[in-house]
Amino acid sequence: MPEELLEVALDTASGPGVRFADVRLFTHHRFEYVSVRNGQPAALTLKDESGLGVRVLREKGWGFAATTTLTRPSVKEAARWARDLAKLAERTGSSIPFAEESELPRNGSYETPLREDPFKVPLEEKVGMLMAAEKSLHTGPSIKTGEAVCTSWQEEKRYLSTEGASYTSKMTHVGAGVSVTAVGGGEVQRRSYPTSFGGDFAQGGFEHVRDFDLMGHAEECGKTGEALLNAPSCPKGKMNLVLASDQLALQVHESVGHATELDRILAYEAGYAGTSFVKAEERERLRYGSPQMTVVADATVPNGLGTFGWDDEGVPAQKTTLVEEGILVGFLSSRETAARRSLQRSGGTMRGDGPLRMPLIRMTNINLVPGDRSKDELVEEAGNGLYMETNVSWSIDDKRLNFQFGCEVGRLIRNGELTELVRNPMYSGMTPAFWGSLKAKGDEKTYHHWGIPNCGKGQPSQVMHVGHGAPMGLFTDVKIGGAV
Amino acid sequence: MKAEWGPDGGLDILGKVLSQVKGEADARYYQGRRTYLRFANSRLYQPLHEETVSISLRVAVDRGRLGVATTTDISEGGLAELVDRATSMAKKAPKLERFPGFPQDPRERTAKAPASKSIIDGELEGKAKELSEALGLVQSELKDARTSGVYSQGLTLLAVANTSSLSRSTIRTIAHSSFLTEKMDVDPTTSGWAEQTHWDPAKVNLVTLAKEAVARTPREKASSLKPGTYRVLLGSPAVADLIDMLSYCMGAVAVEEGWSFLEGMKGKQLASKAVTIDDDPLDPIGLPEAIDFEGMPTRKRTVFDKGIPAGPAHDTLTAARLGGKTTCSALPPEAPYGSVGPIPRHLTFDRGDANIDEMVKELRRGVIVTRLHYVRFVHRKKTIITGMTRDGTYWVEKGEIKGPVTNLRLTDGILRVLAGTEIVGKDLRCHGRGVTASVVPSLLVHGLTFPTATTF
Repeated sequence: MPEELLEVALDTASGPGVRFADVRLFTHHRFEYVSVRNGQPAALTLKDESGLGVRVLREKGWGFAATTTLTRPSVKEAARWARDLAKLAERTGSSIPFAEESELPRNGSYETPLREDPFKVPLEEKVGMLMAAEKSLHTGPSIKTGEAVCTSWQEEKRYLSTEGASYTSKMTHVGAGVSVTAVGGGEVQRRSYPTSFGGDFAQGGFEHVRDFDLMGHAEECGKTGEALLNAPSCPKGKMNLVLASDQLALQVHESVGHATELDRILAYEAGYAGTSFVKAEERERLRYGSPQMTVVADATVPNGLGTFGWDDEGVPAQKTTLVEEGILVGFLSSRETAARRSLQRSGGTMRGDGPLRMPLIRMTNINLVPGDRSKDELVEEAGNGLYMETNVSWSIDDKRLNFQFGCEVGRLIRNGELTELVRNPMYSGMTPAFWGSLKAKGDEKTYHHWGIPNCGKGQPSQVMHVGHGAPMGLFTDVKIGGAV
Repeated sequence: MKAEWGPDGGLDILGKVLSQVKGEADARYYQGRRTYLRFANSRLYQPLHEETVSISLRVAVDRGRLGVATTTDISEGGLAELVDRATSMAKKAPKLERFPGFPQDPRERTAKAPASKSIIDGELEGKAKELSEALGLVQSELKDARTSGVYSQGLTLLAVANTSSLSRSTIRTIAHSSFLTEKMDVDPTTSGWAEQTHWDPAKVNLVTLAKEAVARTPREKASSLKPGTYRVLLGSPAVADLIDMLSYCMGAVAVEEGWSFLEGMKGKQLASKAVTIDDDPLDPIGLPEAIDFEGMPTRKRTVFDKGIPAGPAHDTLTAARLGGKTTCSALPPEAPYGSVGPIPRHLTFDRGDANIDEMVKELRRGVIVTRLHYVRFVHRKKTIITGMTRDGTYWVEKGEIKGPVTNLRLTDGILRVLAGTEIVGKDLRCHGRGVTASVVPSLLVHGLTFPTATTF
């Protein structure tokens, strides 16, 4: 039946004037969310959804339609909608280029390598693990809330296009984390492990959740949360800044990843997400940062949340350099945007967050290549300044220039050593100037590949899973502190 | 199998689900249809249409072990599997303290709110023509313009039933549009914005919105303004951006966890006396919702009375846990909403009596902010947020608009905005933001902090 529905959709979508059409059928789109808060279940949800999305390209217009009802009449109706909307889009448009792709999959297959399927791990075991970890978070009376969370996704997808491309994909993602909210003296502080907003995430099986060792880190998480309540406020002024890997990963996400998306650069997402300070003609010319800065988009990283076999228009996963020793050299692209900028081929970054959404250019794994300093060497090189770890607040303008980030934890650096804790640390800057101040990077030991499952973009809104590898980094003369 | 778009739609299917549950349960049937006419680079680009059906089932075993499952497969086999999954989750869940059971409410099955017949009938061609006209208008009235945005319309059938006799359904329609107009022959480009959300597409006039956006688009280059503290006139989109964030601080879970500003503040003067805000799910200017996601009929509640806050929003679970009564503000129990808990989602300001020209005059010297971008909490308890101004930031001197200024980062408290409100505008507009739809005016605020600026 599923194979038949793919063909029904493609046949209905095709016809006079249709240059290209493709269909994505999600037979299963599973999502499990287990959360324990203060010893009580906060949410236990198991979703299993399915659906089909059809995309049609005419000479001058795209159309897309989707349905969750997997019957022949509903699928036909969706395909007709996609065809009719593409025709409607032609009323106001000019020709849409679409790059050829020479490595389209023919009965391709991609499956996440894993040891333990998270959907086969008994729920009792997950709940027990989270209850134990959550209990250990309560290190004192000021811990008002402890929370332990475990999340799993599994997506089984079939892809078929009028070019004859076809593949099957089965991807599994997992994540887990613990956090506390400490309250006292009119102050509220949060502390998380392995990082904030649900923890860390990876492509793979439940073995990653076990490796996080939530229980082993919960007590320290609680104690730090308590200590932050009585810590002095973050100092203000310009100073050297050492960013931990998790915060630097988010900095890469917001100020490099989104800024190099070619659909934003070409203003196709201007109405909601915004555009970019990067101009398409600045490739090989724009100085993005210091020579220390090399950033790659790599959809082949093992266990990366942005790793896959083929994207949602049949282009194989690739590794593309975006910034080479501080110079912009590449973009995140699609078959349309690659053709618009005469690139050799699409970078293979088109993904929709499910069957109901039109694929967009999305980050894959956007990684800052590590350097050669140990953590101690970076702190010593900073001399005096601030160390920040774990994001709590992030905001950047619609061209990805002016940003302000807050972290959970700050530590003063004095005479080349990490000293006391400060609360509500915050820094701000302008993208090229900030990256221009990157003086040194941490080595492989400071490097971690983080999973971010909540990257928002698109209208209607889509939430994508992306990955970021980042070491620690030392930046000079950064504006620190301010609001709190 | 899909329900008909009728008053009892979905309830029959929920009846089949609940009849298979051994124990207590509630269930929601969602059926949706929505079309988005997206436009970018001044042309219709990637329009899309979706038709969705799903069911969420929450099963309670042993008076307090809760499990939630959802499915899009509403065949007989799919429903049976849904019941198995939710029951299995519930049996393995830790027991919730003070579980009150699901609400009993045998009143009428159909809950009515205003809904658009043209949306229910699937009429779209008229709006497609209106959009073409609007795009053409921008090109003719604004030299070197680039237009982006969306018009979307859709309907949702929500049916809720439980094993305690409640059984209710409703239909909701939505029409939404936003226009971004950029002037490309100015370097850096300048931009203007207009948006509106309403249940009735006739009230979301695309040509009118295009005209508004064009009028707000600066024709000349923006001059830079030093970061600092200024008197501010916040346009209704900016007010909606802030009020949407505030609603998350006004739920029972935020109070329970200690990060809500409401904790210990009931009855205190936190906002200006000029500020009265209701949570009014039935406001005809907004997006009326007749029931919450527990199936309870919604009702109006004042959340700020002349600047004094009331208590938090509750559903039946938080009301039983924390003491109080449900305010009929339940969100769906499934992730990602389940852990958010109930929040006021229809914040509606009492209108003031000043029009926008009078407010500019009263601003005397300060900044006009049309809207904000990427607003995030810096400190939730203090309601401090940060976000960038966008698409129409102007400097006012001696009560007159002097010209556009480059965008600024606003980092300040939402409560400080409400406390510093001097004048409330008389024109109210609905702005949809995710799960909230607030009906808000422009506000004149006496002093807000902009710590940094950008270059455009």
